[in-house]
Amino acid sequence: MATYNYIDPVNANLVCCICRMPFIYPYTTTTCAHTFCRDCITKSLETTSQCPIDRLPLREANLQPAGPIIRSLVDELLVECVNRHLGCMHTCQRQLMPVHISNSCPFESIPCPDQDCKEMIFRKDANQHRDSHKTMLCNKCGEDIQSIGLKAHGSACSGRFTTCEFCESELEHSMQASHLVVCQEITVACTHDIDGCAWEGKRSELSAHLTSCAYHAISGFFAINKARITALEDENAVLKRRVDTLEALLRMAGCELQAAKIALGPWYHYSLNLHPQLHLPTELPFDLQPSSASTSQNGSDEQVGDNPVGPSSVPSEHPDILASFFPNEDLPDLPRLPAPPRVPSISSTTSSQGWESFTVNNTGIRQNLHNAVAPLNLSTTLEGSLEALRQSIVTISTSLDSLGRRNDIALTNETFRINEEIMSLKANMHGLRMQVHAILMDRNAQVIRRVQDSQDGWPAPQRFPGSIQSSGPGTKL
Amino acid sequence: MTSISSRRLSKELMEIQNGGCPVGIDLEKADDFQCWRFSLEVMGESLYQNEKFTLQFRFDQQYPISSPAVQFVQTEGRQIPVHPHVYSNGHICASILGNEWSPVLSVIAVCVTLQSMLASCREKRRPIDNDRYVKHAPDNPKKTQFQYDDDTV
Repeated sequence: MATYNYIDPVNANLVCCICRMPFIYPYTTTTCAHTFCRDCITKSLETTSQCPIDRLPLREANLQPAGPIIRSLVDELLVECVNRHLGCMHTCQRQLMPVHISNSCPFESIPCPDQDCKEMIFRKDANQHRDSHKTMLCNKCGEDIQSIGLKAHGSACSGRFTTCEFCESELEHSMQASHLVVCQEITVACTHDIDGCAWEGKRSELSAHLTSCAYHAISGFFAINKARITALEDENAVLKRRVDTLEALLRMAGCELQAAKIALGPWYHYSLNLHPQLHLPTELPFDLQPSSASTSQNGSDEQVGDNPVGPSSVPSEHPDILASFFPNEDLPDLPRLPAPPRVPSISSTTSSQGWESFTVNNTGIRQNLHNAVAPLNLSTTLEGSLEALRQSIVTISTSLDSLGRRNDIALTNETFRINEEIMSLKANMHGLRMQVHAILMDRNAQVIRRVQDSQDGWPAPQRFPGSIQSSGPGTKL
Repeated sequence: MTSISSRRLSKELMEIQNGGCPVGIDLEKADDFQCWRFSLEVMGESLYQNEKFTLQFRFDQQYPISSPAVQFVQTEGRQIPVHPHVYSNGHICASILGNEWSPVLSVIAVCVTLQSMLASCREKRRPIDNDRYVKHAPDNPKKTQFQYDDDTV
């Protein structure tokens, strides 16, 4: 443990004054609080019973283990493996090094686990070494031998010689395989049996056969042919791979195109001019042209029927053109287009109907509005149509504005007229009241006169319902 | 397996090589961990001006628990210093080399102590019992039992 190499410079406070190395099992004196390695201070006390630093009397009883902080500080210092000179580059905390050495260091020498083997081996070589102790069965003499002694056994093996079954010559076991390749008595096929020669016979007769073998005569031709076929096969494989790649690409492009078509809806135009080399049937263009001139003015029904034909008829043409490339394959990614193309045309009809119903009462504005809605012209680009729609909205909003203003003016005029009428009615009422008043006054005067007359001649005074207290002449009605 | 003494000495040697020696002290020979030699010179005003001495250290396996054997030696052009505590055979009568040796002391600390011992000398003379001692002295000064009677140095 005293021989560790420390990786980092060590704090001077953690160094023992005696061995000048970081403390190992630090012990502190109770008398003067100096700290040393346990071994250093015990050895020093064997010679002189005093503290090496201040020479105060010191006995072993005055020593106690240093505080846990000091112990962990020195235990956690990083050290190199003690087997570094043998090749172990492991570094770890000092307290873990004993575990590394006893359990895992590949360069630590350990005794061979085999009881009989007295060898010391590196731990990393243990498996290899153990294999050398395994016993093997000699396949010649049936003896059990350790694999480490196999080589030595080979030369001493009792059953090392065997007899060739073809030429009956005696040879070593290890030579048997190599002998079969050269044995002159063994039956072999002609060297040109691959090309078709059916001859079979002893190896010694082979050379005689070759002089007469027809295949041998044209062996040069076979070689050239073989090379040519191989080259063609290679090329074929490369081409096959390229076709596969291109097919995949084409299918991907088709899917993308279809998606774009669906997104574009009725604005998708299939132009023949872009594919002059495909030679499409001549009647196609009529079907493909979306008839959009009559769109929103009057022929919305016709448009709904017509439009889907354009985009959906295109994919149905594809199999014909590409039939040679996709012999038995359907195109599942190219379905017939359902509703989407209809949507714009339907909305344009409903909107125009709505406008008609709205403008029935305002005949003056009607004509104006009808013109303001831009027709959905499918022959223009998508941007053009959007622009036209935007302008229509501007026009409509202007019309709405002027309509509101007109309504305001009409309302004001009407109010004036009604006001005047009310005024004249009021005046008439006033006149009538004045007349009634005058009549009542007249009447009062007559009644009063009659009363005066009755007082003169008539016994009982009479009251009239309309007259109230006749106290004053100014009776109000 | 390196012993504790050689590890400690290699550490001291590394410190000398990295940090250098104090003024007047120079490492002359340290080929192994058994015997080192230093040249010693007293700086400033002293009786030993312009004189140079050779100091020899011999270590055993117990260093630093046991003290090194330290003595002056005679080499070409250099004499043993004449000093009341230095015998003519080079042995030094100093307590720190004997019973006051402490493991915390180092080679350089011994050199500095002896340098100051020479510097504080008042009178150049041999120890009183020089002749008697030299006649019977052992080769290793550690085997001598000195009487440390002078506390002034």
